[in-house]
Amino acid sequence: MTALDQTQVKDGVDQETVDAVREVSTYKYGWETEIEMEYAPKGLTPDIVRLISEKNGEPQWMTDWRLAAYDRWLQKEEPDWAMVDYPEIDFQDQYYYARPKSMEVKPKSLDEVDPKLLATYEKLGIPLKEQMILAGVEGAEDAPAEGRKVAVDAVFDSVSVGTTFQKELKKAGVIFCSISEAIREHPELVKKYLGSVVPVSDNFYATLNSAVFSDGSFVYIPPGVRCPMELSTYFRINAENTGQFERTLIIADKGSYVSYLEGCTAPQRDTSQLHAAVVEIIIEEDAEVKYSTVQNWFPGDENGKGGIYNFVTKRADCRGDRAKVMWTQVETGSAVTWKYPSCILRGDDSQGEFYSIAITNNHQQADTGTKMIHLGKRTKSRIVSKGISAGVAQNTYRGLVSMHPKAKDSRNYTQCDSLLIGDKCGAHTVPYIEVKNNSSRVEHEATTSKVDDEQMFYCRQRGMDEEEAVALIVNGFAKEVLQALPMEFAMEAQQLVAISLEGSVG
Amino acid sequence: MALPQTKVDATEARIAQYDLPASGWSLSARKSALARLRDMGLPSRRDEYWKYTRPDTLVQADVPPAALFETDERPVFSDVDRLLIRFVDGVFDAEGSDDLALEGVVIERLAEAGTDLHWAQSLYGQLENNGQTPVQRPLAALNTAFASDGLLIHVTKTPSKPISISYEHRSETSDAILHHVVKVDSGAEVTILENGPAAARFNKCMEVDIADGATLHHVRTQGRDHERRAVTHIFARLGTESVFKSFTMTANGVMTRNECVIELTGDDAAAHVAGACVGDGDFHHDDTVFVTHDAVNCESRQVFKKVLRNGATGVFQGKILVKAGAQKTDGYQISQSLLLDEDSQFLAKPELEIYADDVACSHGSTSGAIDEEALFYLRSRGVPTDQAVNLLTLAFLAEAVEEIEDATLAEEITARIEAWLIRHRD
Amino acid sequence: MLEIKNLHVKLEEEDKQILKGVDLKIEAGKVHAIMGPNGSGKSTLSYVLSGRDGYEVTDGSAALEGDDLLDMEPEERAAAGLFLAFQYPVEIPGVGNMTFLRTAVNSQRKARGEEEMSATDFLKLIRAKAKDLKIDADMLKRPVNVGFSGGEKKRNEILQMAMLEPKMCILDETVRALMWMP
Repeated sequence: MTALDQTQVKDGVDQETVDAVREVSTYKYGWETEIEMEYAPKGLTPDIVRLISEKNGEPQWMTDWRLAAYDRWLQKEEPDWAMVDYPEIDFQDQYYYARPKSMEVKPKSLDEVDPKLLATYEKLGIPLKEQMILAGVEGAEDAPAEGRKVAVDAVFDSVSVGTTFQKELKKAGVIFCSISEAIREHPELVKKYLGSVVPVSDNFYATLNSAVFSDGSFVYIPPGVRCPMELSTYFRINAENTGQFERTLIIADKGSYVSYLEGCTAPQRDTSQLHAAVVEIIIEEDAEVKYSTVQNWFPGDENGKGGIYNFVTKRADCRGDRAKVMWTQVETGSAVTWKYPSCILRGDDSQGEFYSIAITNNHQQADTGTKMIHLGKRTKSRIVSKGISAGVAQNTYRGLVSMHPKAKDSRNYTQCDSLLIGDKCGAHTVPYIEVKNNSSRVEHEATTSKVDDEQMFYCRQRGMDEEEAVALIVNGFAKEVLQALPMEFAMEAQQLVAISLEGSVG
Repeated sequence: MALPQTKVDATEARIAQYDLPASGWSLSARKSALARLRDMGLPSRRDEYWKYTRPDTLVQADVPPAALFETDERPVFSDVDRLLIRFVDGVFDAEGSDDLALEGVVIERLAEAGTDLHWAQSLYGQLENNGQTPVQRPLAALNTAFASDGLLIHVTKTPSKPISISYEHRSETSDAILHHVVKVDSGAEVTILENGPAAARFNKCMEVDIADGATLHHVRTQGRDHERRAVTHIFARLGTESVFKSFTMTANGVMTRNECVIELTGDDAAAHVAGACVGDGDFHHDDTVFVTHDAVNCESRQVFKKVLRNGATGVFQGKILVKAGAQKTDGYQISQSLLLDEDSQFLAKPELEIYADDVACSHGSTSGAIDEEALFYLRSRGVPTDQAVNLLTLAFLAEAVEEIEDATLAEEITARIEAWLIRHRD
Repeated sequence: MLEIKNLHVKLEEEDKQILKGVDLKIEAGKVHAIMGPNGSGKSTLSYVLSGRDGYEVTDGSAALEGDDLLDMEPEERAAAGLFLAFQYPVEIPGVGNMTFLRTAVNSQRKARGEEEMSATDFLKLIRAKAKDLKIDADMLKRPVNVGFSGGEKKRNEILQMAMLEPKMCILDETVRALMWMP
């Protein structure tokens, strides 16, 4: 019997229950799409790895690559150095592959996609239509009223359901598709770059991802091309007990530019779910990539039940001179976040920036930060991290700034600020600073404080209630990071800040 | 979790060199320290807490020999009116020491403290043991188990002059372990001075208990013998409204690891730890500080400055831990290095771990070369480059030296740093 | 309009009585000045009326148009029409002056059961008011009071007053640092 024959269909969850839960929750995306799914059997074996590869119609070299990763994974241990505490994960009690039945035959165009799936994304506010997205942000009086185009790749559990604006992008020479399609259609690019920034055996979760990643996005921007629109991937975990392991590969060839957005949500469930992603970005000479994330996986309920375990490896390699990368992240979701988007500044005069807001409330735990590895001359990096902790949550900034002996005349500036709301939460800062040459300058500053009483009183005297005042002050605290986001994300992020902190005062 | 065999072997090889005393009030504390040492094992380079400093030479059974340093310089603090106590290669030097009598203070030697009940029994190895969590400090446990001597200083009333402990290094292969216990009673104020290289390899531990309203000033210099190695620990416990101020100047030494573990257990207490170091060549200097706020309205300051040249390495690991309920904490930490040439390096891990909301904690860390604009400004006013560099270097170190409250002592330290800079000009 | 009767106030943290039986009746449409040496409790009175933490009312009452002020949260007092111009206006980094004011205006409207003001109407109104007060557009965009000169801070307080249209204003030492007035 082959693994394929063992696929099963799971019963849908009672819709009433889902709706009832939804009513009482502040998490807007906690509902579930009732759709017929196809699962690979639970657990992780070489057969499952082969099955995933087969489902994606991959060539043999890719299957071998995955199997090699699987062997390495067996030898690796789960890291325990982060300040997060969660029950042991049974890696054999997970589904590693789940796709809607209707995706068995890959739709040729968006018109052929199951309406239920389209409706799901519509409901999430990400219509999979080729339309303008209207800009509307704070300070809108100064913003142009015209719409902006954003191309979307939508990933549902293990598979990509569709990518918009592909034709228009193709005209510009930009490749934007699911990674499974790229493996089939652009093997030479995938072979060259996959695993070149995050090696297969980089860490426990990256190795796991290398073995079982099911889908994700692929971007290639040819030399000299400024991508005509923003690219976006929207990840949705829907199925229960299913891990999502997406893989994103972005290549910005010489002198090109792209802004990439990533969003994520998941239904509200009692049991925790695993998400282990890998993002690799290659930036050649004079190219620039902006990568923005609004991470809003289900954080668990106010008693700490359920929620996503989010273990993510993201790394950008500035290979060419004057290459630039900017990571911006707004982390409001997940029960556990373990994530360090990093920059390898290899090219001379290359630049890396990291802007982060991490909000933890209730029982959430986040251990997040960045690594800035300065290898090239006159490389620059900037880190702005704003951590906000409320409830009984723990929020840690962990980062590394490393100036290698050859990285002459380089600069780093780091600012880490933490805000505590209530006396039962924690905020921690764990920076590593390694300076191995004297012409480089490294500056690190960190502060921890609570929401200022004077500011609170001032706002309340002007008529705001406590929650409004906290949301306003926290948004101000995080302003520098919010400003780094593309406009349509900035708006969403601002609202998320307020929603994430609901119930944190009084 | 079982220790790796290599660690067990290294630990046992070191333990085999020493014997526990046959009797004495400290014996039970020594035995439990030995037990915890065996549990932890001596540090190896793979331990996170030793990420930036290789512990090998501090751990190994054989003492790496250290040449004696010839100098015509007068020992530091020579002009201070003080009670002098001298150790040579870790052995008490009665002839070189003053009579151990000082009004308001009882000073005894650990080696002579006998078998009867002793006040130090409630402290010896106890503060060290408290300081083993959350981070292990096996070399301190080794010290508690096998210290050959040390001073037990009980301050009941403010004495008329500082207690000055001077360490001399005369043997190229000496391996000294000393353990001091200092207890300052309520309301008393005392200054303890330490100076000198002590031995080829020196392991020193000082446990400090500062009662409500008491004050301890601690100023030390670590001696200029370049090949010496030292690992030192201070474990300080502070009561309500007490004050602890510790300053260390280090010039030279191929291996120095100074750990300072402070627990603020009473409200309104203040702890300041500061260090200024100047290093050349294969100099390796590590300041590892852990301050725990476990009471309301306490203040802590960590100020560490390092001037490094010719491939010297400076390490700083500092942590402020604010426990739940330790509201109104004011925690400050700054670690800075001035790298005078290409090959020197600075490795830092400044941490905050905070579980109370009404706090103001901050840390800063910088590393860089001398400010070219400032240098040019001074030169344009006629100051020669060498002198200008020294001026700017002294200015850089000033924030740490200013932590010494006594102006005369601060001046002497500044003068010593200046002399070092002049001598170590290229 | 405002009626204070036998108001006794002490500091919450120490046992220090600051106000010892203040009686005051303020009628609508009239300007009243409260004068006294430093430390006589002028600021304390304004803080107690607006509901700042740290003070304990041990006796007496204060009512705005018959409603007991002392029972209300600070934002309820604001919505009821009480405005305090701070002696030292607070800086709020990162929060735009305009955002701050719009949030305040709409919070108060919501509390009074009125409809929120649209972005356009708000913009029109604030521009007009700013013009009257000779406040340039730049000041509206900057974060609340951050980097404002003493005079700018006071002018900003007056702008807020104009926007919020309170019934009763308490101006705490408004003349101090008021360098811009002719």
